[in-house]
Amino acid sequence: MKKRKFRPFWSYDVLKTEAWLNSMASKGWVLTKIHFSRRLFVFEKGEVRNTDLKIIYDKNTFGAPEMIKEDTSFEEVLAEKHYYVLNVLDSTSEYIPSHEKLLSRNQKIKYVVGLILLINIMMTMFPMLIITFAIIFGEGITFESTEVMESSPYTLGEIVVGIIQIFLYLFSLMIPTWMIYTYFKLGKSNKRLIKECGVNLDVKFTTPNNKISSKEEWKEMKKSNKLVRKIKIGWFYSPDKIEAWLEGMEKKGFNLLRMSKLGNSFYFEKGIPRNVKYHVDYQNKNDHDYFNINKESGWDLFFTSVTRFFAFSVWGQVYDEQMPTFYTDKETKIKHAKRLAISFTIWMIPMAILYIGLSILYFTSFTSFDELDFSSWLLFTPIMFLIVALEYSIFTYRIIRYYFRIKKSVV
Amino acid sequence: MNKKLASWIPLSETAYYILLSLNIPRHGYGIIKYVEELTKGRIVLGSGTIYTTIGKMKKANLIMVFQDKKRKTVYELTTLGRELLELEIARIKKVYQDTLLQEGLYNEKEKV
Repeated sequence: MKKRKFRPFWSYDVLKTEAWLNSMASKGWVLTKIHFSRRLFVFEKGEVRNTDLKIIYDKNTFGAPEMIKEDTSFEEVLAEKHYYVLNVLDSTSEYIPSHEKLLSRNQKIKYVVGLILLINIMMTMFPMLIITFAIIFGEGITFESTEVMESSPYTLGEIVVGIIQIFLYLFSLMIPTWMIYTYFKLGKSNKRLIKECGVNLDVKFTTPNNKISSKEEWKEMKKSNKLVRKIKIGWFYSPDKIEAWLEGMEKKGFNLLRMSKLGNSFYFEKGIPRNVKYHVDYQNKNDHDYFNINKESGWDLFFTSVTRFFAFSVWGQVYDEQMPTFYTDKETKIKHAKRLAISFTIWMIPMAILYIGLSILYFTSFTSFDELDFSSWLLFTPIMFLIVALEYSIFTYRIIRYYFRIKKSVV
Repeated sequence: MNKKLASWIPLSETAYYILLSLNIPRHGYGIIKYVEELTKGRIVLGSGTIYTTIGKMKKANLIMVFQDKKRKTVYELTTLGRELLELEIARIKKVYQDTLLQEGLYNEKEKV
């Protein structure tokens, strides 16, 4: 006897799918094949078994790697392109394959879907806002129709076209629905998967939990004059300078306690002068060993923003004589600075050009300078655009300068 | 030779020691400690360097990822990774032999 089950969104919550497969096995349904492209699971009636099945995604291999196949604590149930299913026979086994790659894939999907949704929302919001403004401040819009509807019965062709249009309309509704579902479902299950992958991020928004004191304590600290708050804006465009500044503060006896949520203020406690090495790191943490390796190497986390776009972390380490280094070889050090510079300039340069273009467009739209009254409020918009363009240019300049400073310091 | 591997040869010292240390599955920090031990403190890899290099190797399928009992990430060589390491060991052995030979010639010249 065979059973076929269609599970279109099985990968959105792989832990749930695995639990479902195990429950099927405990009812005597043996998994014989998965058609991943059709999201179809095929079972056959067989003996009742207690299983611990794991679906592993790995783009690089077909089926489980040799080492797993040779290991008697695993049994390869089936292998397909990019995926294989393992039954963990011995749960005390030293090592098990991790879901990390699937998690990373799901995070990528969530990111792309979220971006498309955001763009769509913005694109629908602007016309709606303009219409609302037009209705409120405009003289009112009247719609007049001069066409007279014909009351003749529809022909067969028109009905068919009409039905196709309805289907197309429904289909076009399905895509945003799917996207919203994907975004929220993945958001939820990724959190569980992150835990499953052994990541204890221990972070509240951007502040590590060990840096957060209770509200009362924090209030008391703020009252006492031990606490010093320094505000820095846009420091992440020259990370090496902020590192040096923090190290200098420590040498003066200002010990960094924590940073604010958005990372623009630094709270210091007046203490003893220390030798601390700081490192501002820019890293897409789509795999989670990042925190483990750094923490075990003695680095203390002060700030981290876990988004793909603004992926800064601030690490510090107290030392006696030997100064610790985050990047010990030239190659990775330069690469890090390069990635940081590129990921910002890639959108800041177009933005600067866009705003310069917009302001030029505004200026030239004034027919002649004779008519131009410099007190005119019309000038406000293009000047604002110029200021924004200037800001983007300064940021770009600073980040490129940072890259060359790092490059020079290494060679 | 595998085309994928050709772009990796010669390996950087960091990358070479990472592969060399993976005779058994190890944690990221375990690699740092082992390399330090193996080289008697000559090479102490930074955590950022290890993380970046391992990330690159994972993408190239030289290394694969497991979890240990405490759900911590463990790295192990793939068959491709082992192939690359063997090629590099053979190459570095030749470099070493050539070095010894040539060093001998230099020393003889000094004696004369």
